[in-house]
Amino acid sequence: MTGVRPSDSPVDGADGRGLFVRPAGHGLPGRLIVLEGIDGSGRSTHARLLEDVLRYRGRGVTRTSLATSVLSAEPIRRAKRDRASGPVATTLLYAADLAERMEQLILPALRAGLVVLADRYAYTPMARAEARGLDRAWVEKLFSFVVPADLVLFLDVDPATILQRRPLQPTVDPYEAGADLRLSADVLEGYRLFQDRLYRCFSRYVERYGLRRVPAAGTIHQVERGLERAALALIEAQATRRPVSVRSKAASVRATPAGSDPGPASVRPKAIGSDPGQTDRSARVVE
Amino acid sequence: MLRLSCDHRVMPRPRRRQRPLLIAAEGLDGAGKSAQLDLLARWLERRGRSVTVERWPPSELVERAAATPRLRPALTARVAALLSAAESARRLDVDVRRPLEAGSVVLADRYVWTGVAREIARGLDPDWVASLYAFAPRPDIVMLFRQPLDAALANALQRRDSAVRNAAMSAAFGAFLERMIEAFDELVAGAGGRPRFGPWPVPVLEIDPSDHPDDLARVIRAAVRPLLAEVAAA
Repeated sequence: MTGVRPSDSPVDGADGRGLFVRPAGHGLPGRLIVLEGIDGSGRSTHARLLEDVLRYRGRGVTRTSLATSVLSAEPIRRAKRDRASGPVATTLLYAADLAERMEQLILPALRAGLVVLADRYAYTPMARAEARGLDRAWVEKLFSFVVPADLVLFLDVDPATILQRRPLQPTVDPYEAGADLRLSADVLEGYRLFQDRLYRCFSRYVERYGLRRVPAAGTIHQVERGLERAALALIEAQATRRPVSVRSKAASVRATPAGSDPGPASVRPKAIGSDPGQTDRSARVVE
Repeated sequence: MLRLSCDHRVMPRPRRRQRPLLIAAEGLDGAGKSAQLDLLARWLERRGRSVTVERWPPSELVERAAATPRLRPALTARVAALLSAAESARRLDVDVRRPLEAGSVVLADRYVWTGVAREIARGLDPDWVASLYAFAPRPDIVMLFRQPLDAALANALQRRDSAVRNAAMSAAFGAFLERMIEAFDELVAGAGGRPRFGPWPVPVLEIDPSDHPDDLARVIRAAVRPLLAEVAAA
């Protein structure tokens, strides 16, 4: 079985960063679909809609979001409020949160053949860290242990459009709004500048990690159609075990040669990856 | 790895013309690190330096999780490593960076290498673990106390803390300590050499704990004295 990435893929592990330990993905029967998007991109709404669609198609689906792990959820909340805590600590806690969900939820679900729908994944804490000036290489290495996703859908709508569509929510989390950076004396301006930074990070991730842009400036229905098409192509390719070519204006997808790995084969590799078997066997704590 | 403003060496200079120093003592327990650091602290104070001694405490988050049956299953090596690192990040800012910015000498009784060696001993990928701790302030010198395995085991078995004693009696403990020793070896080898390994390049002084304490104190002072002589520029 050959890894079927197009040879000019910018995210080939040959650049030495070792992001893709297994070019064919995680190799498990389930599928990991990630939805990413900045604040107000409609991500949570679409995660719920997509979950329903996939269930309707007869797939078992489990959804997971950031900062929901047993050990890290509360520490993350505290760290975001704590002035003495900096972005390094918060980023490390997000990584701990991902590690726990990966080991306790995502990997078992993938092994059981479920579809895991991740409402945000490593990319969001990475972007929040880089937007705060943390070293790119360090951030990338930190999150390199996560299970590679089969499909990462980036809801692509720029911050200016978002702010036009809806007013700044008063309940927005200061950390998520970049308030600590004090980019401007004006709260709204500071928020917009931070969202700009995040958006630029994600645009870079599209190139570097093969995220798939889904235009998200349209109506909910339009956006949902785009997401569904991509997600169902992935699921159905797996079901029929044939290579898939998806025609979509937004997609940067190549047709695969026959005989290739059906799961992630038709799209560029998605994510920073690791060997799930190795991480799963990590030893219990000995204090 | 952070922006320069987070590196203590380029913070606004302390009012006193004395260069801040971070000196880390590493090595397994019972090697006499604390005693030597105590001697060093007093020697530095006699020379007019303000000194703080910091320890490397176990992670509260990890200990609490380990002690709670409901939370324990989630506490794998990787999760524990990340939680410890997160707590260390916060603690080091307060307990190490700030005294350094004030011009102190900070003596660390166990430091980042201890965390790195432990996580490697628990089976995590060494490169990943080393990179994890790159955010920590880089010491001006690491003194590695080369405590041999049998001495460290004997020390653990004699501890008053029953949890440590019980852990030490398990067959796995010796193997764990052995892996920690190997990790320290790798850190020393990689601290300045090629290929480099570890969170940062750093000068290393290797200490044989079986030497006489007075001789060790002399060796340590000889290594530290040149660092004191470098005064922050006006």
